[in-house]
Amino acid sequence: MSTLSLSLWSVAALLVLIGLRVPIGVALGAVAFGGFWALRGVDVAFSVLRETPFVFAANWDLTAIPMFLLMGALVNNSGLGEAIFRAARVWLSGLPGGLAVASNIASAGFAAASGSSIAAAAAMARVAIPEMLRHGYDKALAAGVVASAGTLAALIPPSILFVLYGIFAEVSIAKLLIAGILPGLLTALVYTLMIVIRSRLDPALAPSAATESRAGLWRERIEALKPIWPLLVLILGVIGGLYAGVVTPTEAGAAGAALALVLGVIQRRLTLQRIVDSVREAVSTSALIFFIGMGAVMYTKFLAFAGVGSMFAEMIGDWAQQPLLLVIAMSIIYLVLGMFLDPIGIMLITIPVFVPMFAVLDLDLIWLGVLVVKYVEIGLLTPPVGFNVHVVKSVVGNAIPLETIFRGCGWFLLCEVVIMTLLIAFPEISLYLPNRMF
Amino acid sequence: MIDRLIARTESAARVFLWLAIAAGVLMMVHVTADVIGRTVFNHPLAGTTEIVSAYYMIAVSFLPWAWISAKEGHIRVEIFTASMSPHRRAWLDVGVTLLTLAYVVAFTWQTFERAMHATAVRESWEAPNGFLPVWLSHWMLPASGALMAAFLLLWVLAEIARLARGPAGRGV
Repeated sequence: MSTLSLSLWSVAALLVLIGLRVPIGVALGAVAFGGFWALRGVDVAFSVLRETPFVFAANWDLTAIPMFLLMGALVNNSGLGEAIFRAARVWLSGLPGGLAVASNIASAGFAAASGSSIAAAAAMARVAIPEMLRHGYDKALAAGVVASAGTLAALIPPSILFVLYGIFAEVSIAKLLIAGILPGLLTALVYTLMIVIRSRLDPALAPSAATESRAGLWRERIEALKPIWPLLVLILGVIGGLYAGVVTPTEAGAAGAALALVLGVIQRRLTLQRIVDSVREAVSTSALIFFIGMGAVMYTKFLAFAGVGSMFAEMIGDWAQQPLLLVIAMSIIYLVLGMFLDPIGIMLITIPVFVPMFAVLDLDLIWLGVLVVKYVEIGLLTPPVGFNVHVVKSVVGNAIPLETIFRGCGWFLLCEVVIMTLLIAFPEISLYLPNRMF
Repeated sequence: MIDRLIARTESAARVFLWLAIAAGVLMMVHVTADVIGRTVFNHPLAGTTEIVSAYYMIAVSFLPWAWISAKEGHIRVEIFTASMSPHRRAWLDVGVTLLTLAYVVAFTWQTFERAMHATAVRESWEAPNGFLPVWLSHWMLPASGALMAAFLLLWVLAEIARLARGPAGRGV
C-alpha cells in the first residue's frame, strides 16, 4: 500500500472509531498499532507499544501539565474567580454592557492562573451568569460571553494546549506561552468592543447595573482590589519568571501551585478537603490527557514512519509560493473538526499533519501554534459539540436553553473572524514578545 | 458476585488514585523546593528533573487510569450515535469497551515485558549526583494497565449479563 493511501486509510479509520464512541486515546493508539502492523509487521507494532508509554510520560516538559492544572484548580477552589469578577464588576459596571465586559475581563484575569478553557468557563459561569441574569441581561449575551471568554485561558499563560503543542511540534514551550499573551489580550479587547457597541445600540440587552454614588464607588473599587492581590503575585511570578527565563514552564507551574496553596491557606479560603479535591482534579485530568497523548505519540510515529512529511513536501511543491492557501485550508479543516471533536483530540490528531507542512514552507512554528490553539478554542464554541457551551449549560441548568447559548456565542464567533484575520495577516502580533525574550 | 468484584476493583483503583495524588503533591513540593534552592540559596536540589520525570510523573500519568474508567471519564464523541436506541447503544458500548480492553491488555502485556527487562538490567538514569534507579517505576505501567483491564472486563461481563436478561436498555 502506498504512503498516501495508508495515511488516508488511517485518518478514515480514526474518524470512524471516534464516531463509534471509541475513546479518542484508544482510537489513536489502535490505528497506530494497525498502521505499524501493516507497514512493518506485528513485532514492530508491539515494540512501539512497549517502548512509547514510559518514554512519553517520563518527560520533564510534560510535567508542566499537572502543575498548571493544579495551579488552576487551587485558584479556582480558593474562590479567587469570584473575587476577580467582583473587582472587574465595580471597575467596569459603568460601561454599556458593564457586567458582560466585567465577565470578559475577569475571564482574562482568571486565565492568568488557569490553563484550561473548560475549567475557566465553568468557574466564571457560576459567579458571573447569575449576576447578569439578576440585572436583566439578555440570556444569550450572558451565557455567550462566559463561554467565549473562557477560551482566553488557553491563550494567556499558563496553557495546557501550548504545552502539548510545544512537545509535539518540538518548539520552545516558554516561547509559545509568551506568544499567547498578545493574541489573548487582542481577543479580550475585540470582545469588549463588540459588547460595548452592541449594548450601546440596544440598551435592552444589558440594563445598567451601576448603582453606587461616586464617592462610595471609589472606596468600593479600592476595596475590591484587595482580595485579588494573589492573582497579581501569580501573574508576576509565572509570566514574569517565564519571560525573564528564570524558570521553566514546569517550575512556573509548580511554584505557582505552591503559591496559590499558601495564599489560599493564609486567606482561609482553602480547607484540606478543597486541597485534596484540587490535586485529585489535576492528576485525574492529567492522566486522561496522557492516555490520549500516548496514543497520539504512537500515531505521530506511524505517520512519520509512513513518510508523510516527505509526501507533503512533494505535494506542497507547487503551493510553496502560496502559504496563505495552506493557512486557509488549515482554517477550514479546524473549523470542521472543531464542530465534533474535543480540543486535545483535535490538536493531537492534526499536529503530526500540519507541522511538517509548515516546516516545509519554512513558516514559523510558534505562529502556527498560536493559530492552532485559536482554532481549537473556536471549536469549543461551535455547534453541535461546543465543549465550552456544554460546560456553561451544565452550570446554568434549565435557566438558559442550549440553542440560546450557541446563539450568544455567534457574536463572539464574528469577532473571531476579525481576530483570526488580524493574527494571520500580522504574525508579529504573536511573535513580537517571544522574539524579545531573554 | 461480579458486583462484589467490581467493588473490590474500585477500592484498588482508589488506592492507586491516592498514590497519584501523593505524587502530585510531591511533584509540586519538590520542584518548588528546587526553584527556591536555586534562585534564593544558589543551591539546587540535585536530581530533581530525573526524580520528578521518572517517578512522580509516571505515577500521575498512569495510576489514575482505573479510577477514571470507573467514573467513565474518557472523552467520547456522542454526536453520531445520539439517534440510536438505548439498547443498541448499550451493545455498541460493549463492543467499544471490548476494543478498549484489547488495547489495554496489549499495553499491560508489553509494558510488563518492558518492566521485566528494566528489572533484569537494573535500569538506571544518570543524574547529577550518581545514578537514579528507574526500573521500579516501570512497574507502575503494567500495574495500572492490569487494574484498568480488570475493571473493563468485569464491567463488560456485568453489562452482557444485564443485556442478555432482557431487552430493556438502561438508557446510557
